[in-house]
Amino acid sequence: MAVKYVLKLYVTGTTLRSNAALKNLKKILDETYKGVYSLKVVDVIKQPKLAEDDKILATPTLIKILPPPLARIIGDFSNREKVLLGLDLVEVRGGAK
Amino acid sequence: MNKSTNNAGWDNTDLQALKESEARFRSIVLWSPDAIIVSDAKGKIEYINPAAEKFFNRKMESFTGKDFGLSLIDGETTEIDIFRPGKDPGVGDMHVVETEWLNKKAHLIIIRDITERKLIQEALRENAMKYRALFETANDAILLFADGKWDDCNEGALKVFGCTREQIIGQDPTRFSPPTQPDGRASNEEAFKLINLAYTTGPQFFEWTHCRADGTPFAAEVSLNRLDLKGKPYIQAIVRDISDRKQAAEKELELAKAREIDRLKSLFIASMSHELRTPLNSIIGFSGIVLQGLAGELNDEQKKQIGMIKSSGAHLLALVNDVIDVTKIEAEKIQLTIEEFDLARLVREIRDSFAPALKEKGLTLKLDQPDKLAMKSDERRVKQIIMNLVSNAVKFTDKGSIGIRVAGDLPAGRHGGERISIAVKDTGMGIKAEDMGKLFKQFSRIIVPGQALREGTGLGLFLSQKLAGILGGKTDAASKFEQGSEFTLTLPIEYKEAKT
Repeated sequence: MAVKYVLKLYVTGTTLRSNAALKNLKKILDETYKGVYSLKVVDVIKQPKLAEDDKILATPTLIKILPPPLARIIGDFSNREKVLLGLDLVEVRGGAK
Repeated sequence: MNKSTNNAGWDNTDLQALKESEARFRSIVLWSPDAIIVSDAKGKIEYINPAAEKFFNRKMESFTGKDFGLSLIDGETTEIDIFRPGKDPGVGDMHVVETEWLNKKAHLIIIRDITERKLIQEALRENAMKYRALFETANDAILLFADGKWDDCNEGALKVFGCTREQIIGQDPTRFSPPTQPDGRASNEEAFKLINLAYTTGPQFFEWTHCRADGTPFAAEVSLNRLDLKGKPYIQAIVRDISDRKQAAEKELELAKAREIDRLKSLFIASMSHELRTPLNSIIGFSGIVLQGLAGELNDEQKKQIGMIKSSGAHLLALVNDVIDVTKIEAEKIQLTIEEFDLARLVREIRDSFAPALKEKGLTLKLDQPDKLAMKSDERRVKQIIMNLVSNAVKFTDKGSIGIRVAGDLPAGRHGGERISIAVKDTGMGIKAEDMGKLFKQFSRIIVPGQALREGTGLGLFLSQKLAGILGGKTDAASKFEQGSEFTLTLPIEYKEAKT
């Protein structure tokens, strides 16, 4: 299965917020897009240049690069529905082909 | 119409009111201490207020057209980290309301700066964790007591009492004490008294017999301190298990006693030996004089009997001398005189001293050694060991020969090296393999059925072995029963003080 969903998550260090957001997001992605997504986690403290280039203002920010259109959401990703809607993704249960 | 209208059809008074209203709301937004951001429905920034500029540490221009990101929170708040180039990250409490902005769907995002509060919270949490860690990692049992029960305890308490936290919390203070203390006082009365004292007069320190969850008693040192937490009085109990320390102290005492007994024994033997030697010298001396016939002619029978007195006396003296040496070794009182001497000369002297005995038994002695062999050690002790080995060889050999071979650890003809070996080989009765282990034991004699017990104290080899050790060397034995034995003394060419 080829990677179909490319996402980038910006966090700040290893704060409780960062960790919680990453955990929530992984859960949603694994439930929905297991095996077909790629998630890159960027720490703005370690890579401020990258954050600046991506015009990050606050974290946790998730950017959906593929499939288009580009979308970005901010929050703790605790609400699955809202995350998927916010990313402009139609929910597909049980994995996507 | 009294009212003036402008060309847009607005009533001027209305316009004035509108302006005033706009100014009021504008100032609310401008002066708001919270950051206010308005984004469109997709998250693109439409407006930010000065507080947002300040909080994000960015100029107004750097926001415009940027994508803040679609805020997922609607009606609730969430904490976010603020990325501020050139400044430590901030923490904000974000509240998002769906609203309308210029007739379009929009998000009103209000972010309160809680960076300071978070830092303080973090510091408090770290502090709490630090003290929790101190509390938990202590080896002593630390317990909190309130309202007549144990209220909390650390990991140390679980180890000390051998149970789970649940088995401690909520229990009576004397749950882990035997009914009575060693002096007969009732534990619960005494504990009650001490706890009361800690509440009323101040910290209490005392020794206490506790027991583990399985009932095993153990000695402990206990301190009780009053603590007031949120206005409620607690007693903090620190229980240190000192059973190991007590046992160690008892062991130490026993050891000291044993050492003292040993010392007294050695002292007794040393002084007894001295007392024994004095009369022995008279016996040997005067029997010698009598044998010389100076006080009158002796007949053969008298000569024989007095000769027996003399040789028995000499044997007894040798025995006493050995005992003194053993005692000295055990008391670690052997004093060495280290100097350089010629080992080859010493061995020749030893050989010569055995000539009469060899002749009497009809044995030959072969000597294989260089002409000169310098070594640095205690000559008297080296001599004592070699004499002992040779005398054993003579004693246990009835026919054949005895060989002494002296060699350094370098091939023949070369000088130097570090160790020297003196091997004494005989063609005597030999030793059975099962008896080899007894050889170097104190007072051990090997008894061969059908053979007369040879004269000796049973101390010779034990002493030789010990002395060789003191000189930094060792003695080894190899033997074949009924074919002969070989004893080898190995010593460092130059004695070096043992490192302690």
